Amino acid sequence: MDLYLLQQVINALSYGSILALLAIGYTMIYGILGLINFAHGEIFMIGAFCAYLLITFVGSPFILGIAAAVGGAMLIGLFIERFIYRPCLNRNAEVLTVFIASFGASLGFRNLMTMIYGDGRRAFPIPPQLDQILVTESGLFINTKDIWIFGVTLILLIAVSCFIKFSRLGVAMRAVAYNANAARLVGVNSRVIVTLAFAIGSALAGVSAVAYGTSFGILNPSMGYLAGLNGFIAAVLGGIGNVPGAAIAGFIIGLGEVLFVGLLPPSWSAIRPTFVWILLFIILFIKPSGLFRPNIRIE
Amino acid sequence: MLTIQDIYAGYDKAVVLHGISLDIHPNEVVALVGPNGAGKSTTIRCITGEIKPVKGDIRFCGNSILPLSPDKIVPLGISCSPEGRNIFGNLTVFENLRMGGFLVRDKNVLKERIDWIFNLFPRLKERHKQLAESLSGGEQQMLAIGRALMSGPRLLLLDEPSLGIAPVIVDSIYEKITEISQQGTSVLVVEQNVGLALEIAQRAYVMESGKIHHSGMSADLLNDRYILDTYLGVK
Ligand SMILES: Nc1ncnc2c1ncn2[C@@H]1O[C@H](COP(=O)(O)OP(=O)(O)OP(=O)(O)O)[C@@H](O)[C@H]1O
Ligand SMILES: [Mg+2]
Repeated sequence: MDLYLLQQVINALSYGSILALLAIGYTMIYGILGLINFAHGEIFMIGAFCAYLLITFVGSPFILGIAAAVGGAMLIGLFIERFIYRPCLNRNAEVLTVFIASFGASLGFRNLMTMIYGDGRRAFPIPPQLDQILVTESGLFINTKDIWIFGVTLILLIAVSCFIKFSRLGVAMRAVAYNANAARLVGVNSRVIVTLAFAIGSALAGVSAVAYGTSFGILNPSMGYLAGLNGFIAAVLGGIGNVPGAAIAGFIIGLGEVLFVGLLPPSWSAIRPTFVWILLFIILFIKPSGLFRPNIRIE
Repeated sequence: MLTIQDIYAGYDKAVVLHGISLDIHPNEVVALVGPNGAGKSTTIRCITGEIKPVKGDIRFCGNSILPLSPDKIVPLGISCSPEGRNIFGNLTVFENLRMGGFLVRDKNVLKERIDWIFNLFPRLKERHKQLAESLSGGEQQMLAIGRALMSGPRLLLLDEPSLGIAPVIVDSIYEKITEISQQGTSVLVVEQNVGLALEIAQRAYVMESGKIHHSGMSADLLNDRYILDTYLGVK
Protein backbone atom coordinates (compact mmCIF):
# COMPACT_ATOMS: atom_id res chain seq x y z
CA MET A 1 0.00 0.00 0.00
CA ASP A 2 0.99 3.53 -0.72
CA LEU A 3 2.76 5.05 2.33
CA TYR A 4 0.51 8.08 2.44
CA LEU A 5 -2.60 5.95 2.39
CA LEU A 6 -1.21 3.64 5.04
CA GLN A 7 -0.47 6.63 7.25
CA GLN A 8 -4.05 7.83 6.81
CA VAL A 9 -5.36 4.40 7.72
CA ILE A 10 -3.29 4.48 10.90
CA ASN A 11 -4.54 7.98 11.65
CA ALA A 12 -8.10 6.75 11.24
CA LEU A 13 -7.77 3.75 13.57
CA SER A 14 -8.82 5.59 16.71
CA TYR A 15 -11.52 7.64 15.11
CA GLY A 16 -12.94 4.58 13.35
CA SER A 17 -12.91 2.72 16.68
CA ILE A 18 -14.81 5.53 18.39
CA LEU A 19 -17.48 5.51 15.69
CA ALA A 20 -17.70 1.72 15.52
CA LEU A 21 -18.32 1.48 19.27
CA LEU A 22 -20.95 4.21 19.10
CA ALA A 23 -22.68 2.77 16.06
CA ILE A 24 -23.43 -0.50 17.85
CA GLY A 25 -25.58 1.28 20.42
CA TYR A 26 -27.63 2.99 17.74
CA THR A 27 -28.05 -0.11 15.66
CA MET A 28 -29.05 -2.39 18.55
CA ILE A 29 -31.63 -0.01 19.93
CA TYR A 30 -33.02 0.88 16.55
CA GLY A 31 -33.20 -2.78 15.59
CA ILE A 32 -35.09 -3.74 18.73
CA LEU A 33 -37.27 -0.73 19.45
CA GLY A 34 -37.42 0.91 16.04
CA LEU A 35 -36.35 4.17 17.62
CA ILE A 36 -33.35 6.39 17.07
CA ASN A 37 -31.84 7.05 20.45
CA PHE A 38 -30.70 10.62 19.90
CA ALA A 39 -29.52 10.75 23.49
CA HIS A 40 -26.86 8.13 22.72
CA GLY A 41 -24.34 10.90 22.07
CA GLU A 42 -25.08 12.29 25.54
CA ILE A 43 -24.67 8.85 27.13
CA PHE A 44 -21.23 8.90 25.49
CA MET A 45 -20.50 12.43 26.73
CA ILE A 46 -21.49 11.62 30.31
CA GLY A 47 -19.28 8.54 30.16
CA ALA A 48 -16.36 10.79 29.23
CA PHE A 49 -17.12 13.14 32.12
CA CYS A 50 -17.28 10.27 34.60
CA ALA A 51 -13.78 9.17 33.59
CA TYR A 52 -12.48 12.74 33.55
CA LEU A 53 -13.88 13.67 36.96
CA LEU A 54 -12.60 10.53 38.60
CA ILE A 55 -9.11 10.67 37.13
CA THR A 56 -8.52 14.42 37.27
CA PHE A 57 -10.19 15.32 40.56
CA VAL A 58 -10.01 12.13 42.57
CA GLY A 59 -6.71 11.06 41.11
CA SER A 60 -7.86 7.54 40.35
CA PRO A 61 -5.85 5.30 38.07
CA PHE A 62 -6.79 5.35 34.39
CA ILE A 63 -8.26 1.88 34.49
CA LEU A 64 -10.77 2.99 37.16
CA GLY A 65 -11.61 5.92 34.91
CA ILE A 66 -12.54 3.47 32.17
CA ALA A 67 -14.72 1.55 34.60
CA ALA A 68 -16.39 4.80 35.66
CA ALA A 69 -17.06 5.77 32.05
CA VAL A 70 -18.62 2.38 31.32
CA GLY A 71 -20.61 2.35 34.55
CA GLY A 72 -21.77 5.95 34.23
CA ALA A 73 -22.80 5.52 30.61
CA MET A 74 -24.73 2.34 31.44
CA LEU A 75 -26.50 4.04 34.32
CA ILE A 76 -27.57 6.98 32.15
CA GLY A 77 -28.57 4.64 29.30
CA LEU A 78 -30.74 2.53 31.57
CA PHE A 79 -32.19 5.65 33.16
CA ILE A 80 -33.19 7.00 29.76
CA GLU A 81 -34.71 3.67 28.79
CA ARG A 82 -36.66 3.35 32.01
CA PHE A 83 -37.92 6.89 32.45
CA ILE A 84 -38.11 8.29 28.94
CA TYR A 85 -38.65 5.55 26.37
CA ARG A 86 -40.55 2.95 28.36
CA PRO A 87 -43.34 5.33 29.40
CA CYS A 88 -43.71 6.39 25.75
CA LEU A 89 -43.75 2.84 24.45
CA ASN A 90 -46.09 1.60 27.19
CA ARG A 91 -48.58 4.17 25.98
CA ASN A 92 -48.10 3.09 22.36
CA ALA A 93 -46.85 6.56 21.54
CA GLU A 94 -46.59 7.68 17.92
CA VAL A 95 -43.20 7.54 16.23
CA LEU A 96 -43.05 11.33 16.23
CA THR A 97 -43.68 11.49 19.98
CA VAL A 98 -40.82 9.11 20.73
CA PHE A 99 -38.64 11.03 18.29
CA ILE A 100 -39.30 14.26 20.16
CA ALA A 101 -38.79 12.59 23.55
CA SER A 102 -35.46 11.28 22.32
CA PHE A 103 -34.43 14.65 21.01
CA GLY A 104 -35.52 16.26 24.25
CA ALA A 105 -33.45 13.83 26.30
CA SER A 106 -30.43 14.60 24.16
CA LEU A 107 -30.80 18.37 24.52
CA GLY A 108 -31.70 18.08 28.18
CA PHE A 109 -28.60 16.15 29.18
CA ARG A 110 -26.32 18.27 27.03
CA ASN A 111 -27.66 21.50 28.49
CA LEU A 112 -27.64 20.15 32.01
CA MET A 113 -23.96 19.33 31.69
CA THR A 114 -23.27 22.70 30.07
CA MET A 115 -25.02 24.37 32.97
CA ILE A 116 -22.82 22.54 35.47
CA TYR A 117 -19.48 22.54 33.66
CA GLY A 118 -19.76 25.21 30.97
CA ASP A 119 -19.18 24.29 27.35
CA GLY A 120 -15.48 25.06 27.29
CA ARG A 121 -13.11 22.28 26.28
CA ARG A 122 -11.41 20.48 29.10
CA ALA A 123 -8.24 18.45 28.92
CA PHE A 124 -8.82 14.72 29.13
CA PRO A 125 -6.13 13.07 31.26
CA ILE A 126 -4.10 10.75 29.04
CA PRO A 127 -1.59 8.50 30.79
CA PRO A 128 1.83 9.38 29.33
CA GLN A 129 2.81 5.75 28.88
CA LEU A 130 -0.09 5.41 26.42
CA ASP A 131 0.94 8.43 24.44
CA GLN A 132 4.17 7.67 22.62
CA ILE A 133 4.99 8.18 19.00
CA LEU A 134 6.89 5.47 17.23
CA VAL A 135 8.47 6.00 13.83
CA THR A 136 8.92 2.95 11.65
CA GLU A 137 11.84 2.43 9.27
CA SER A 138 9.62 3.24 6.32
CA GLY A 139 8.76 6.55 7.93
CA LEU A 140 5.30 5.83 9.32
CA PHE A 141 4.24 7.63 12.46
CA ILE A 142 2.39 5.42 14.91
CA ASN A 143 0.99 6.62 18.19
CA THR A 144 0.81 3.87 20.78
CA LYS A 145 -2.55 5.12 22.06
CA ASP A 146 -4.09 4.51 18.63
CA ILE A 147 -2.87 0.93 18.73
CA TRP A 148 -4.31 0.47 22.21
CA ILE A 149 -7.64 1.95 21.25
CA PHE A 150 -7.87 -0.12 18.10
CA GLY A 151 -6.84 -3.30 19.89
CA VAL A 152 -9.32 -2.93 22.73
CA THR A 153 -12.07 -1.98 20.28
CA LEU A 154 -11.36 -4.96 18.09
CA ILE A 155 -11.61 -7.33 21.04
CA LEU A 156 -14.88 -5.76 22.18
CA LEU A 157 -16.35 -5.82 18.69
CA ILE A 158 -15.52 -9.47 18.25
CA ALA A 159 -16.94 -10.28 21.68
CA VAL A 160 -20.20 -8.44 21.04
CA SER A 161 -20.54 -9.93 17.55
CA CYS A 162 -20.05 -13.43 18.94
CA PHE A 163 -22.56 -12.73 21.68
CA ILE A 164 -25.15 -11.63 19.12
CA LYS A 165 -24.38 -14.49 16.79
CA PHE A 166 -24.10 -17.42 19.17
CA SER A 167 -25.51 -16.80 22.61
CA ARG A 168 -29.05 -17.60 23.64
CA LEU A 169 -29.81 -13.96 24.48
CA GLY A 170 -28.05 -12.74 21.36
CA VAL A 171 -30.28 -14.88 19.15
CA ALA A 172 -33.26 -13.62 21.15
CA MET A 173 -32.18 -10.04 20.47
CA ARG A 174 -32.23 -10.68 16.75
CA ALA A 175 -35.56 -12.45 17.05
CA VAL A 176 -37.12 -9.53 18.95
CA ALA A 177 -35.77 -7.13 16.32
CA TYR A 178 -37.50 -9.14 13.62
CA ASN A 179 -40.80 -9.81 15.33
CA ALA A 180 -41.30 -8.90 18.97
CA ASN A 181 -44.70 -10.52 19.19
CA ALA A 182 -43.50 -13.85 17.86
CA ALA A 183 -40.60 -13.67 20.30
CA ARG A 184 -43.03 -13.22 23.17
CA LEU A 185 -44.88 -16.31 21.99
CA VAL A 186 -41.76 -18.42 22.52
CA GLY A 187 -41.33 -17.00 26.01
CA VAL A 188 -38.95 -14.09 25.48
CA ASN A 189 -39.54 -11.21 27.86
CA SER A 190 -38.90 -8.36 25.46
CA ARG A 191 -38.37 -5.92 28.32
CA VAL A 192 -35.29 -7.86 29.39
CA ILE A 193 -34.01 -7.76 25.82
CA VAL A 194 -34.56 -4.01 25.56
CA THR A 195 -32.74 -3.44 28.84
CA LEU A 196 -29.91 -5.64 27.64
CA ALA A 197 -29.61 -3.68 24.39
CA PHE A 198 -29.42 -0.40 26.29
CA ALA A 199 -26.89 -1.84 28.72
CA ILE A 200 -24.56 -3.17 26.02
CA GLY A 201 -24.96 -0.14 23.76
CA SER A 202 -24.30 2.29 26.60
CA ALA A 203 -21.34 0.35 27.95
CA LEU A 204 -19.72 0.48 24.52
CA ALA A 205 -20.49 4.21 24.34
CA GLY A 206 -18.58 4.55 27.63
CA VAL A 207 -15.55 2.79 26.14
CA SER A 208 -15.89 4.94 23.05
CA ALA A 209 -15.89 8.04 25.26
CA VAL A 210 -12.59 7.06 26.86
CA ALA A 211 -11.19 6.36 23.39
CA TYR A 212 -12.35 9.80 22.27
CA GLY A 213 -10.82 11.53 25.27
CA THR A 214 -7.57 9.63 24.87
CA SER A 215 -7.42 10.19 21.14
CA PHE A 216 -8.33 13.89 20.98
CA GLY A 217 -7.27 14.82 24.49
CA ILE A 218 -10.39 16.88 25.11
CA LEU A 219 -13.97 16.65 26.28
CA ASN A 220 -16.91 19.02 26.60
CA PRO A 221 -20.68 18.72 27.00
CA SER A 222 -21.40 19.00 23.28
CA MET A 223 -18.84 16.36 22.25
CA GLY A 224 -21.63 13.82 21.81
CA TYR A 225 -23.36 15.73 19.08
CA LEU A 226 -21.02 15.23 16.12
CA ALA A 227 -19.60 11.93 17.31
CA GLY A 228 -23.13 10.64 17.91
CA LEU A 229 -24.28 11.78 14.51
CA ASN A 230 -21.39 10.00 12.82
CA GLY A 231 -22.06 6.88 14.87
CA PHE A 232 -25.69 6.97 13.83
CA ILE A 233 -24.79 7.32 10.17
CA ALA A 234 -22.43 4.37 10.57
CA ALA A 235 -25.38 2.38 11.90
CA VAL A 236 -27.40 3.28 8.81
CA LEU A 237 -24.50 2.49 6.51
CA GLY A 238 -23.95 -0.86 8.21
CA GLY A 239 -27.54 -1.95 7.68
CA ILE A 240 -29.69 -1.04 10.65
CA GLY A 241 -29.78 -3.76 13.32
CA ASN A 242 -26.64 -5.42 11.97
CA VAL A 243 -24.03 -5.26 14.73
CA PRO A 244 -20.89 -6.31 12.83
CA GLY A 245 -22.11 -4.19 9.91
CA ALA A 246 -22.31 -1.11 12.13
CA ALA A 247 -18.78 -1.75 13.42
CA ILE A 248 -17.31 -2.11 9.94
CA ALA A 249 -19.21 0.97 8.77
CA GLY A 250 -17.78 2.92 11.71
CA PHE A 251 -14.29 2.22 10.43
CA ILE A 252 -15.29 3.04 6.86
CA ILE A 253 -16.64 6.42 7.94
CA GLY A 254 -13.66 7.11 10.16
CA LEU A 255 -11.25 6.40 7.35
CA GLY A 256 -13.42 8.21 4.81
CA GLU A 257 -13.47 11.33 6.91
CA VAL A 258 -9.72 11.27 7.51
CA LEU A 259 -9.06 10.81 3.79
CA PHE A 260 -11.62 13.49 2.97
CA VAL A 261 -9.79 16.12 5.02
CA GLY A 262 -6.44 14.72 3.93
CA LEU A 263 -7.29 15.40 0.31
CA LEU A 264 -8.54 18.92 0.89
CA PRO A 265 -6.28 21.94 1.31
CA PRO A 266 -5.66 22.61 5.04
CA SER A 267 -7.69 25.81 5.02
CA TRP A 268 -10.75 23.71 4.17
CA SER A 269 -10.50 21.46 7.18
CA ALA A 270 -13.45 23.22 8.84
CA ILE A 271 -15.80 21.45 6.45
CA ARG A 272 -14.74 18.06 7.82
CA PRO A 273 -18.16 17.45 9.47
CA THR A 274 -19.94 17.73 6.12
CA PHE A 275 -18.34 14.48 5.03
CA VAL A 276 -20.89 12.29 6.80
CA TRP A 277 -23.76 14.31 5.42
CA ILE A 278 -22.51 13.81 1.90
CA LEU A 279 -22.06 10.14 2.70
CA LEU A 280 -25.55 9.86 4.22
CA PHE A 281 -26.98 11.48 1.14
CA ILE A 282 -25.20 9.00 -1.10
CA ILE A 283 -26.31 6.03 1.02
CA LEU A 284 -29.93 7.10 1.02
CA PHE A 285 -29.71 7.71 -2.67
CA ILE A 286 -27.99 4.53 -3.78
CA LYS A 287 -28.61 1.91 -1.11
CA PRO A 288 -30.94 3.01 1.68
CA SER A 289 -30.75 -0.39 3.35
CA GLY A 290 -27.02 0.04 3.93
CA LEU A 291 -24.00 -2.00 2.90
CA PHE A 292 -24.88 -5.08 4.91
CA ARG A 293 -28.05 -6.94 5.58
CA PRO A 294 -30.39 -5.05 7.95
CA ASN A 295 -31.60 -7.07 10.89
CA ILE A 296 -35.08 -5.74 11.21
CA ARG A 297 -38.39 -6.90 9.88
CA ILE A 298 -38.85 -5.77 6.32
CA GLU A 299 -42.60 -5.33 5.90
CA MET B 1 -56.54 -29.34 31.24
CA LEU B 2 -57.54 -26.09 29.50
CA THR B 3 -60.91 -24.61 30.32
CA ILE B 4 -62.26 -21.52 28.67
CA GLN B 5 -65.24 -20.18 30.59
CA ASP B 6 -67.62 -17.88 28.78
CA ILE B 7 -65.10 -15.35 27.48
CA TYR B 8 -65.90 -12.10 25.76
CA ALA B 9 -62.98 -10.58 23.92
CA GLY B 10 -62.12 -8.43 20.96
CA TYR B 11 -60.10 -5.58 19.63
CA ASP B 12 -60.12 -1.84 20.24
CA LYS B 13 -63.20 -1.27 18.19
CA ALA B 14 -65.38 -4.31 18.67
CA VAL B 15 -66.06 -7.31 20.82
CA VAL B 16 -65.53 -10.33 18.59
CA LEU B 17 -66.06 -13.26 20.95
CA HIS B 18 -69.45 -13.41 22.61
CA GLY B 19 -69.25 -15.99 25.34
CA ILE B 20 -66.97 -18.78 24.19
CA SER B 21 -66.60 -21.86 26.39
CA LEU B 22 -64.32 -24.69 25.46
CA ASP B 23 -62.49 -27.59 27.12
CA ILE B 24 -59.41 -29.53 26.19
CA HIS B 25 -58.47 -32.68 28.06
CA PRO B 26 -55.04 -34.29 28.33
CA ASN B 27 -53.85 -36.18 25.24
CA GLU B 28 -56.68 -34.95 23.13
CA VAL B 29 -56.77 -33.44 19.65
CA VAL B 30 -59.56 -30.87 19.46
CA ALA B 31 -60.55 -29.01 16.33
CA LEU B 32 -61.95 -25.50 16.22
CA VAL B 33 -63.63 -24.85 12.91
CA GLY B 34 -65.82 -22.21 11.38
CA PRO B 35 -66.02 -19.68 8.56
CA ASN B 36 -63.71 -16.71 8.04
CA GLY B 37 -64.06 -14.06 10.68
CA ALA B 38 -65.74 -16.43 13.13
CA GLY B 39 -63.20 -15.57 15.82
CA LYS B 40 -61.04 -18.71 15.79
CA SER B 41 -57.73 -16.88 15.73
CA THR B 42 -59.03 -14.45 18.33
CA THR B 43 -59.78 -17.41 20.60
CA ILE B 44 -56.23 -18.69 20.10
CA ARG B 45 -54.83 -15.24 20.91
CA CYS B 46 -56.81 -15.24 24.14
CA ILE B 47 -55.18 -18.52 25.16
CA THR B 48 -51.68 -17.30 24.33
CA GLY B 49 -52.33 -14.11 26.29
CA GLU B 50 -51.97 -11.73 23.35
CA ILE B 51 -55.55 -10.58 23.88
CA LYS B 52 -57.12 -10.21 27.29
CA PRO B 53 -60.81 -11.10 27.51
CA VAL B 54 -63.03 -8.42 28.98
CA LYS B 55 -65.17 -11.06 30.68
CA GLY B 56 -64.87 -14.75 31.53
CA ASP B 57 -61.90 -16.84 32.56
CA ILE B 58 -59.28 -19.12 31.05
CA ARG B 59 -57.83 -21.80 33.29
CA PHE B 60 -54.90 -24.05 32.60
CA CYS B 61 -54.40 -27.01 34.94
CA GLY B 62 -56.68 -25.33 37.45
CA ASN B 63 -55.12 -21.85 37.51
CA SER B 64 -56.34 -18.76 35.76
CA ILE B 65 -53.89 -17.57 33.12
CA LEU B 66 -55.67 -14.28 32.53
CA PRO B 67 -53.20 -12.15 34.52
CA LEU B 68 -50.20 -13.57 32.66
CA SER B 69 -48.45 -12.01 29.68
CA PRO B 70 -47.64 -14.28 26.70
CA ASP B 71 -44.04 -14.87 27.77
CA LYS B 72 -45.28 -16.06 31.19
CA ILE B 73 -47.84 -18.43 29.67
CA VAL B 74 -45.30 -20.32 27.55
CA PRO B 75 -43.44 -21.75 30.58
CA LEU B 76 -46.70 -23.26 31.86
CA GLY B 77 -46.65 -25.55 28.85
CA ILE B 78 -48.74 -23.82 26.21
CA SER B 79 -47.21 -23.00 22.89
CA CYS B 80 -48.55 -21.79 19.62
CA SER B 81 -47.90 -21.89 15.92
CA PRO B 82 -49.72 -18.68 15.05
CA GLU B 83 -51.78 -17.75 12.04
CA GLY B 84 -49.45 -16.54 9.30
CA ARG B 85 -46.61 -18.57 10.87
CA ASN B 86 -44.56 -15.60 12.08
CA ILE B 87 -41.25 -17.37 11.86
CA PHE B 88 -38.09 -15.32 12.37
CA GLY B 89 -37.06 -14.72 8.77
CA ASN B 90 -33.70 -13.20 9.76
CA LEU B 91 -32.66 -16.30 11.69
CA THR B 92 -31.60 -19.64 10.34
CA VAL B 93 -33.86 -22.68 10.62
CA PHE B 94 -31.69 -23.94 13.46
CA GLU B 95 -31.81 -20.60 15.29
CA ASN B 96 -35.59 -20.52 14.93
CA LEU B 97 -35.79 -23.87 16.67
CA ARG B 98 -33.30 -22.66 19.25
CA MET B 99 -35.64 -19.74 19.94
CA GLY B 100 -38.58 -22.10 20.27
CA GLY B 101 -36.63 -23.67 23.10
CA PHE B 102 -35.67 -20.31 24.58
CA LEU B 103 -36.88 -21.32 28.04
CA VAL B 104 -35.22 -24.74 27.93
CA ARG B 105 -31.96 -24.38 29.84
CA ASP B 106 -30.81 -27.99 29.67
CA LYS B 107 -28.50 -28.36 26.66
CA ASN B 108 -29.17 -32.10 26.38
CA VAL B 109 -32.94 -31.68 26.38
CA LEU B 110 -32.54 -28.99 23.76
CA LYS B 111 -30.46 -31.22 21.57
CA GLU B 112 -32.85 -34.15 21.95
CA ARG B 113 -35.80 -32.01 20.95
CA ILE B 114 -34.05 -30.59 17.91
CA ASP B 115 -33.16 -34.09 16.81
CA TRP B 116 -36.74 -35.19 17.38
CA ILE B 117 -38.06 -32.30 15.26
CA PHE B 118 -35.51 -32.99 12.52
CA ASN B 119 -36.82 -36.54 12.64
CA LEU B 120 -40.42 -35.36 12.30
CA PHE B 121 -39.54 -32.95 9.52
CA PRO B 122 -36.42 -34.11 7.69
CA ARG B 123 -36.83 -31.14 5.34
CA LEU B 124 -35.88 -28.84 8.20
CA LYS B 125 -32.76 -30.83 8.87
CA GLU B 126 -31.62 -30.50 5.27
CA ARG B 127 -32.13 -26.75 5.48
CA HIS B 128 -31.04 -26.09 9.03
CA LYS B 129 -28.40 -23.51 8.07
CA GLN B 130 -30.65 -21.66 5.68
CA LEU B 131 -32.31 -18.35 6.57
CA ALA B 132 -35.93 -19.07 7.46
CA GLU B 133 -37.25 -16.43 5.06
CA SER B 134 -35.81 -18.41 2.17
CA LEU B 135 -37.96 -21.46 2.97
CA SER B 136 -41.02 -22.36 0.96
CA GLY B 137 -44.43 -21.80 2.52
CA GLY B 138 -44.80 -25.44 3.49
CA GLU B 139 -41.34 -25.57 5.00
CA GLN B 140 -42.07 -22.41 6.96
CA GLN B 141 -45.19 -24.07 8.30
CA MET B 142 -43.16 -27.08 9.40
CA LEU B 143 -40.71 -24.71 11.05
CA ALA B 144 -43.49 -22.86 12.87
CA ILE B 145 -44.83 -26.16 14.22
CA GLY B 146 -41.34 -27.35 15.08
CA ARG B 147 -40.56 -24.11 16.86
CA ALA B 148 -43.77 -24.43 18.89
CA LEU B 149 -42.79 -27.97 19.86
CA MET B 150 -39.35 -26.96 21.07
CA SER B 151 -40.65 -25.73 24.42
CA GLY B 152 -42.01 -29.21 25.10
CA PRO B 153 -45.62 -28.04 25.44
CA ARG B 154 -48.41 -29.90 27.15
CA LEU B 155 -50.84 -28.01 24.94
CA LEU B 156 -50.02 -27.15 21.34
CA LEU B 157 -52.12 -24.53 19.55
CA LEU B 158 -52.05 -24.66 15.76
CA ASP B 159 -53.73 -21.90 13.80
CA GLU B 160 -54.40 -23.10 10.26
CA PRO B 161 -51.39 -25.33 9.76
CA SER B 162 -52.64 -26.20 6.27
CA LEU B 163 -53.02 -22.67 4.96
CA GLY B 164 -51.52 -22.22 1.52
CA ILE B 165 -49.88 -25.62 1.44
CA ALA B 166 -50.03 -28.35 -1.18
CA PRO B 167 -52.38 -31.24 -0.27
CA VAL B 168 -49.56 -33.81 -0.13
CA ILE B 169 -47.67 -31.76 2.42
CA VAL B 170 -50.85 -31.01 4.36
CA ASP B 171 -51.40 -34.75 4.68
CA SER B 172 -47.89 -35.24 5.95
CA ILE B 173 -48.22 -32.36 8.43
CA TYR B 174 -51.46 -33.84 9.74
CA GLU B 175 -49.83 -37.22 10.12
CA LYS B 176 -47.18 -35.53 12.24
CA ILE B 177 -49.81 -33.79 14.34
CA THR B 178 -51.36 -37.17 15.13
CA GLU B 179 -47.92 -38.50 15.96
CA ILE B 180 -47.23 -35.57 18.27
CA SER B 181 -50.52 -36.04 20.11
CA GLN B 182 -49.80 -39.72 20.60
CA GLN B 183 -46.58 -38.77 22.31
CA GLY B 184 -48.56 -36.98 25.00
CA THR B 185 -49.25 -33.43 23.82
CA SER B 186 -52.79 -32.08 23.63
CA VAL B 187 -53.50 -30.20 20.45
CA LEU B 188 -56.02 -27.52 19.60
CA VAL B 189 -56.11 -27.12 15.85
CA VAL B 190 -57.90 -24.35 14.00
CA GLU B 191 -58.86 -25.25 10.47
CA GLN B 192 -60.76 -23.96 7.47
CA ASN B 193 -60.62 -27.43 6.04
CA VAL B 194 -63.31 -28.97 8.22
CA GLY B 195 -63.13 -32.44 6.71
CA LEU B 196 -59.43 -32.68 7.41
CA ALA B 197 -59.71 -31.37 10.96
CA LEU B 198 -62.52 -33.73 11.87
CA GLU B 199 -60.47 -36.62 10.57
CA ILE B 200 -57.67 -36.19 13.10
CA ALA B 201 -59.54 -34.60 16.01
CA GLN B 202 -61.46 -36.61 18.56
CA ARG B 203 -63.72 -33.68 19.31
CA ALA B 204 -64.58 -30.45 17.57
CA TYR B 205 -66.15 -27.09 18.21
CA VAL B 206 -67.93 -25.30 15.41
CA MET B 207 -67.76 -21.57 15.73
CA GLU B 208 -69.61 -18.80 13.97
CA SER B 209 -69.81 -15.05 14.58
CA GLY B 210 -68.02 -15.28 17.90
CA LYS B 211 -70.13 -18.07 19.35
CA ILE B 212 -69.83 -21.83 19.59
CA HIS B 213 -72.68 -23.22 17.54
CA HIS B 214 -72.01 -26.94 17.85
CA SER B 215 -69.65 -29.19 19.64
CA GLY B 216 -69.21 -32.89 19.97
CA MET B 217 -67.32 -35.96 18.89
CA SER B 218 -65.91 -35.61 15.40
CA ALA B 219 -67.60 -38.79 14.27
CA ASP B 220 -71.00 -37.46 15.32
CA LEU B 221 -70.41 -34.12 13.66
CA LEU B 222 -69.40 -35.89 10.48
CA ASN B 223 -72.75 -37.68 10.49
CA ASP B 224 -74.70 -34.54 11.15
CA ARG B 225 -76.51 -33.55 7.95
CA TYR B 226 -76.82 -29.93 9.02
CA ILE B 227 -73.12 -29.54 9.78
CA LEU B 228 -72.14 -31.20 6.57
CA ASP B 229 -74.39 -28.92 4.55
CA THR B 230 -73.35 -25.74 6.27
CA TYR B 231 -69.65 -26.21 6.76
CA LEU B 232 -68.50 -28.85 4.40
CA GLY B 233 -70.60 -27.73 1.48
CA VAL B 234 -71.75 -31.30 0.92
CA LYS B 235 -75.11 -31.16 -0.80
N1 LIG C 1 -56.10 -7.13 14.79
C1 LIG C 1 -57.44 -6.95 14.66
N2 LIG C 1 -57.98 -5.74 14.91
C2 LIG C 1 -59.30 -5.55 14.80
N3 LIG C 1 -60.19 -6.51 14.45
C3 LIG C 1 -59.70 -7.73 14.20
C4 LIG C 1 -58.31 -8.02 14.29
N4 LIG C 1 -58.11 -9.32 13.99
C5 LIG C 1 -59.33 -9.81 13.72
N5 LIG C 1 -60.29 -8.88 13.84
C6 LIG C 1 -61.73 -9.06 13.64
O1 LIG C 1 -62.17 -10.08 14.51
C7 LIG C 1 -63.05 -10.94 13.86
C8 LIG C 1 -62.60 -12.37 14.06
O2 LIG C 1 -61.32 -12.50 13.49
P1 LIG C 1 -60.46 -13.83 13.61
O3 LIG C 1 -59.14 -13.54 13.03
O4 LIG C 1 -60.51 -14.30 15.01
O5 LIG C 1 -61.28 -14.81 12.67
P2 LIG C 1 -60.91 -16.26 12.20
O6 LIG C 1 -62.04 -17.13 12.62
O7 LIG C 1 -59.58 -16.65 12.64
O8 LIG C 1 -60.97 -16.09 10.63
P3 LIG C 1 -60.04 -16.74 9.49
O9 LIG C 1 -60.60 -18.08 9.25
O10 LIG C 1 -60.25 -15.86 8.32
O11 LIG C 1 -58.65 -16.75 10.00
C9 LIG C 1 -63.12 -10.52 12.42
O12 LIG C 1 -64.34 -9.87 12.20
C10 LIG C 1 -61.98 -9.56 12.25
O13 LIG C 1 -62.36 -8.51 11.41
MG1 LIG D 1 -57.81 -17.01 11.70
